[in-house]
Order: sequence, then structure tokens, then C-alpha cells
Amino acid sequence: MSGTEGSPGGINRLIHEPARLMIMSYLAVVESADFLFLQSQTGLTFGNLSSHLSRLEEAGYLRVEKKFVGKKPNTILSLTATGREAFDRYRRQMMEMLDEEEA
Amino acid sequence: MSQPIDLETIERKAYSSKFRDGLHDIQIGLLLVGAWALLVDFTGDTYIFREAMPIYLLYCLVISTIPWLGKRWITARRMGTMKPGVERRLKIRKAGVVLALIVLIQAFLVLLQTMGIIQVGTDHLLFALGAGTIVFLPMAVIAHRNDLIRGYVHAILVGMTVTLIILLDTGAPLLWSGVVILTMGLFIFIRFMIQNPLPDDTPVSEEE
Repeated sequence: MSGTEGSPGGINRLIHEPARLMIMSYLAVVESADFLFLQSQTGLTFGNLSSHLSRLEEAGYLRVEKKFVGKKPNTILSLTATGREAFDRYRRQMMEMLDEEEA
Repeated sequence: MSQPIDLETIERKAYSSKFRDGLHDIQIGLLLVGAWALLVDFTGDTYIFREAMPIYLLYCLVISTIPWLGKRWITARRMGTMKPGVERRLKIRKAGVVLALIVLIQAFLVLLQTMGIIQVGTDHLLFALGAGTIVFLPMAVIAHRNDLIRGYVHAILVGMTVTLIILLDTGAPLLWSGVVILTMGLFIFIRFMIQNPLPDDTPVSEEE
């Protein structure tokens, strides 16, 4: 799933959605983060964040590692190489588009 | 060139959020108050009671566990954890090199003074300002490394404290700045605990 089907200028619509863009941005600047960190940074609800993470994981952008701390689950999230590449491409395209607007 | 997503700001926000629980402030506040309680000679001749230094160093060791233990058992379960990215790790390494250089210069200056190669009167304003700057610099480097504005406030307060100790010939500034930073830390910690209650059914975090 590329997320670019039918979108103007080949912009990745999967990443372009505001909540997912926020998630991708946070994960792009760290090596990894856990679910709770991402939730506290983005301000998304548990269910909302889970659903967006599932979409990104299905696209192969996200690596999800589940482990236990004591008896409680701890989910570690990081971008895959594909995810980083897609995010970099998205940023480049957006910058080009905005530069064209300014010119 | 346009910048639709400011990753630098996002990275700064993500990394500095590690300090939003106030534990770092509490640690520095306790170190200063402890220095006042353990090192100051209240009998009057001198403001430093050197014999207590080993006890103070032991105290520092205990206090330095506060951020780690506090995160491990209290705050990481409320705010989550992250591992810094490549850029931040590079910045931490660079700051480490600068800190090491500053410490080496400080040690060299102390050595020169001890050997009598340089003579600076301890009642001199320039000496007081120099000593304050020497303490301010490493703390400012740490604040820069952590992208923590409060860190610069700590650095200024502690630098001023050292200057005032020398100028006024009293250990009281340690208590003043210690109480200010400790109060700030406790306020931030309490606010953090109120704003971030521990959810029952969400995943927990483990501080690395």
C-alpha cells in the first residue's frame, strides 16, 4: 500500500492525514518511543492512536514491538526504513509544492 | 525553502519532555540545600567545612538516583519513554566533549592556584565572578544539551550563588537558590502528577 493512489501531486494521503502526520513526525525524530509517550505527545486518545498506528503498520511504515513490564503490556514503536523513506519523500514533495506556491 | 514540518522543533519538544516531571529540578535543589546543610560551617570562621566533603559526596550519590528511580517507578508510567534519535545522540556526544574540556580547564586552574603559580585573592570581585562563571558554564552546556530553558535558570542561579558566597563570605546563598529550585521542581512535579494520572488499562513504560 503506497498511500498515493488518486492523490494530487502524488502526495502520500496515508501520511498527509493530520494525526498520522503528527505520529510520523514524532517517530521520525526519535529512534523509538512507546505508546504512552506518543499518546502524551500527540494528545490523541488511546483508541484513536491505536487505529492510526494500525494503518501505518499495515502500510509497512511502522515496527511494533510488544513486550511486558511486570504484568502490563508495553508497546515500542519505531519507523521502518520504508516508513522513513516515505516520510522523507512526503516532506520533499510538500516543500516543493509550497516553494512553487511562493514563487 | 519552505518548511512545512519543523522537525527540529518537534525533536526538541520530544526530548525536553523528559524533564517535564520536575525530577531534574528537585535533584539540583536538593544538592544545593544539602551542600548548605552539610558543608557550611555555622560557627563562623569559614563558610566551607571541608571535613564533611566525603559525607556530601555520598549524599550527592544518593540524590543522583532520584531522577532515575522517580522515572522508573513514578513518572515514566505516566508519560512514556523514548530513545533519542541520531541527531540528539550526536548533540549529547558533542556536549560531553565540551563538558570534559571545561572540567579539564577548571582542574588546571585549581592546580595552578594550589601550586601558587597564579595568585588570586579570594576577597576579590573578579575572583568571585570568575568562580561563578566556572560553575555556570558546565550547567549552561547541560541546559543546551537538554534543550531545557529551566536549565539555564539553574545555571544562572548556581553561578550567582557561588559568586555571592565568595562576596558575602556566607554559605546562605546555597540555601536561597536551593530552596528556589527545589520549590520550582516540587511545583512542576505536583502539576505533572495532577495532569498525568496513571491509567489502569493502558500500556506502561519502562525507563531505559
